[in-house]
Amino acid sequence: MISRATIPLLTLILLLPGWGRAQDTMTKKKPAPFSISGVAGVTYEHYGLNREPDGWYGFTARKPWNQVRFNFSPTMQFGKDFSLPFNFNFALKPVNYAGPYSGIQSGKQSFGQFVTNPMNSFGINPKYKWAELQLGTQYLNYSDLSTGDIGVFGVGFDLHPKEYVFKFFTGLSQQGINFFTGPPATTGAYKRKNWMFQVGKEREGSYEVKFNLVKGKDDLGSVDTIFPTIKPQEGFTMSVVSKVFLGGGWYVQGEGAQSIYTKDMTLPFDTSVASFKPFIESRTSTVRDYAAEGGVGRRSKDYDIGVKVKYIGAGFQTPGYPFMLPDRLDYTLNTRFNAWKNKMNVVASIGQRVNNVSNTTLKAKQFIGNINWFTQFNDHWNLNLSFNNFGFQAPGGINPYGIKNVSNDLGINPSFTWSNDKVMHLISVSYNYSKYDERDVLTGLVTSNNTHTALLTYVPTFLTKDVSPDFSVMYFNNSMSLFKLTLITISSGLSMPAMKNKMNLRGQLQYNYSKTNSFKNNNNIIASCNVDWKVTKKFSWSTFVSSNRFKYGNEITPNNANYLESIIRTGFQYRFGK
Amino acid sequence: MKKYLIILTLLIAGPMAFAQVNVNLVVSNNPPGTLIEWGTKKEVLTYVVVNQGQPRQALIKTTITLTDGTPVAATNLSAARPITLERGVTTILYAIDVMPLQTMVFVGKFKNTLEKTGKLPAGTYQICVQLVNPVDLLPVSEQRCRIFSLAAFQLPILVLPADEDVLDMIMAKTAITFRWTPVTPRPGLPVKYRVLVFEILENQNPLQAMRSNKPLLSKDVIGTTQYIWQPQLAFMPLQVLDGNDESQFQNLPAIAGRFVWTVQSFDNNDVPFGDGNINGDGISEPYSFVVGDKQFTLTHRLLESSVVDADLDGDGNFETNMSKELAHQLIVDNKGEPEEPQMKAGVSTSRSNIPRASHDKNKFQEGQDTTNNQQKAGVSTSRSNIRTHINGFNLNSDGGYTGTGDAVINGRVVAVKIRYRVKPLAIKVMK
Repeated sequence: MISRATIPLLTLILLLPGWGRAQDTMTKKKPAPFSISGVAGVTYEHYGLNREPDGWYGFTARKPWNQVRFNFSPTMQFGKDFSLPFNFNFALKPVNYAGPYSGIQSGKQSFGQFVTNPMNSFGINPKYKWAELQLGTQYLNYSDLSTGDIGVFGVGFDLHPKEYVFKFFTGLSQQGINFFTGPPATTGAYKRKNWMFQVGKEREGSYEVKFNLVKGKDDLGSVDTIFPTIKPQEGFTMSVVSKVFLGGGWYVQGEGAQSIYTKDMTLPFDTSVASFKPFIESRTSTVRDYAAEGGVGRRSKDYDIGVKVKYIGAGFQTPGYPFMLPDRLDYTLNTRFNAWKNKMNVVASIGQRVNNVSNTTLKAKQFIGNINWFTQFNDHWNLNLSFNNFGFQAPGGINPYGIKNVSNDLGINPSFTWSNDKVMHLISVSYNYSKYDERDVLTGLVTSNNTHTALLTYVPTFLTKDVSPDFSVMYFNNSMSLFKLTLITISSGLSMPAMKNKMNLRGQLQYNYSKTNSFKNNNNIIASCNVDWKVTKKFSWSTFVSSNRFKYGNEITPNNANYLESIIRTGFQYRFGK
Repeated sequence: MKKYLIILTLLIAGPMAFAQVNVNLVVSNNPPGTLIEWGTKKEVLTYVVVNQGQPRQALIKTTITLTDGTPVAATNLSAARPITLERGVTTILYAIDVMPLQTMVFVGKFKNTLEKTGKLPAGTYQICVQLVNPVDLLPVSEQRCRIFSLAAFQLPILVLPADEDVLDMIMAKTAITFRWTPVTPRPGLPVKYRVLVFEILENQNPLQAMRSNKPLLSKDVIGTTQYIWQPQLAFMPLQVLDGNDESQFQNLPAIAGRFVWTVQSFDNNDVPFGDGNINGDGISEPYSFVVGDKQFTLTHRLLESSVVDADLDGDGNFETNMSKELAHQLIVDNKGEPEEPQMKAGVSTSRSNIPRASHDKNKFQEGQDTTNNQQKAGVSTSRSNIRTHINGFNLNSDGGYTGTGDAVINGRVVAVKIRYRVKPLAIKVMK
């Protein structure tokens, strides 16, 4: 049954196309009463895999056999102040891999699971002046230590009256899913509800101060069966984030956060652990820890420098970043500068990460340094140099030797351009050397893993023709004790317009030779083609076809096993508005 | 005399009572560092009680010390729940029964660490368990002690490709090298690392892609922390020139694919290392990377530029359809100053790098003015080369861009809109 409140909305939607045409005739001097932009489209993708001989399954499918994806993301603008953006992206077939949704088979997910499945988004964000209503799926980033990369399906708002900020959102980040033996098996998950709130003040380009509260809580009664290791959890995080822009491009930013996280809600309450009522009441499985980050630096047109420090306590856990690695301290120095009339550009960083900070005896240190130096000597020559160093060391603990992994990567890439009236030529050579040493913690022996990569590319650009080809040859050699891998790739691409520039054709052919130790080499041919056809001013049709044939030598059993992988993807897109 | 009788009775009755309650304690040498996980894993601690005497009740008294005797924790017997020992029945108890966290009292720095992290500091500990009478707390079984080592494992940290890195499209066709740090401290038995790579589809963010998509790569690696992947993918630039909105323009640096990768760690029993992360699934913090134009940027050759609108009268509104009127006059240099007609004839190239915004704020500076590269990138046509004070671009439907800025027209600075008709090219540009 349609409520009274929805009738005006439906009427509005039905009338939109007419309004869209009407506004085309408006003059530019008057704000249009209605306009619409954005796109809507549908894409179908077919994946095929044929393996030989029969019964060999050494290569497994990398994509779903058939998938249809929809995208509906128009933005309707009503007058000057009101906008109504939609963001609907969804697929017909669930193919989740990581997380509890991996157990869902096609057709088995409930409507609630479909709507909250992370592979689908259904969001509407009506906005009037400084007030935005947030409905449906939202990926909201409040700060680096509170919430940022988890999608939540629910309702909330984002208000910016003058210099003030008020944000609130609540909804589900996870549906309850029962333990399922499979295949594919899933351990199950409790339904998780999330809340997030932000209040603060900001002036663009001047300063911002914001206070964040984030909470996630599992629903114990949301599943019938669940794997014993999965425990219902509850987490609460609060943080203060601030940023100040000073004169001359200088800035200072920082955030401090505390988390209180209960790892098992089935355990009893514990008064000996401080609670933070009414947001969370501590149990015997509750931990409380801190995190902080800060940075200071200067940005300008030709010169940037910045220092960043980040500390995540061993017990710091926030519902807004479920994969955040705790127990670490990072500090980095980044810089960039242009010189020589902007023909020289240097980007460099150096830093260290300390892991297992809480365990003094097992503290591991990771050093990272890299530099990229680009110079354009003249219209013909330019050179790019890069060097990356990475080192990781940890005490041995129960092992006789500690962990020590060190990698050094050097890249040299000159290129030369010359041209005449008809064609511009570009030749680029690239050489990379990578050395990666790993120490065995039992024997102390160091294994060196050396990689040489050489690449030659030629790109002629015809100034009087529409055909744009490119050619490249690459050699890759990786060797370590008792192992040697050689790869050679020859590839070429071609692009050209057709149908009076309404169609864009691109093709690519690639041959890969690979050889491991003394085994017979493997052969691989990849061919692909892309056709983008602008059927009308607003309607386009894109098709991508790819074929990948790989034939093994004798490094695996059965010998000469091979497979043919094919992808056909075609989709239509309609553009709203002008 | 009475005192001697009591002592004699205890000396006789004590061993008899112990003899009636036999106990055994088995503790894993390297249990999880997170104590809460002890309760979910039966293999961590097993306490077997066999009562051959009369049915009775008993409390479990557990003490944890360092190997040098430093006290760590002990059972609060006043809060402990008694267990009933039936005659002739073998009772098997686990960590959740022997050392329930709600009745264990941790002391000093161990209490602080446990409250902050849920773990005890890495080290070697001794756990002793004994049954005592609930009334007088006298022992009813022998004390059993075992040594165990705690080493809070930390999941791998991804190294290469670094987070938000841009990989060269041509090189990535052949191989992409993944490197990560090992599980630390290194466990006694080999760790299996599963390298996972997911494609980030359009309108997805990295974590969403990881939770949603089928992995392009799922490869198990044992004994090393590097894997060389031959993607066998047809990397082609996703973006085409005749896009539809400004967001596509911002992605123009020939992105051929966006990916997110991670490593999932398993112990020798194929059980995910759950000790180091919130989800207990052994999945490390994921990194995303782009396969794109590190070698060559898909940029554009300027075929034609023309003023389409200009605010000649300075009223804030653009007068339309000005290109026909003004084309022959609009010859200005990069500062907006009039340029001599013969100068443009000296321009040898016909390319132009349209200013672009980057998808990668770490690799390219936001707002970096790449128009600096255009100083010699003139115009092949005889019309104009206005590229001055460009404020922004909007894609036109006919395969070009519209820029706004200022230009000197007839000796006066006026606001203009300039249309660029361009053609995609592969040209090396400053990174």
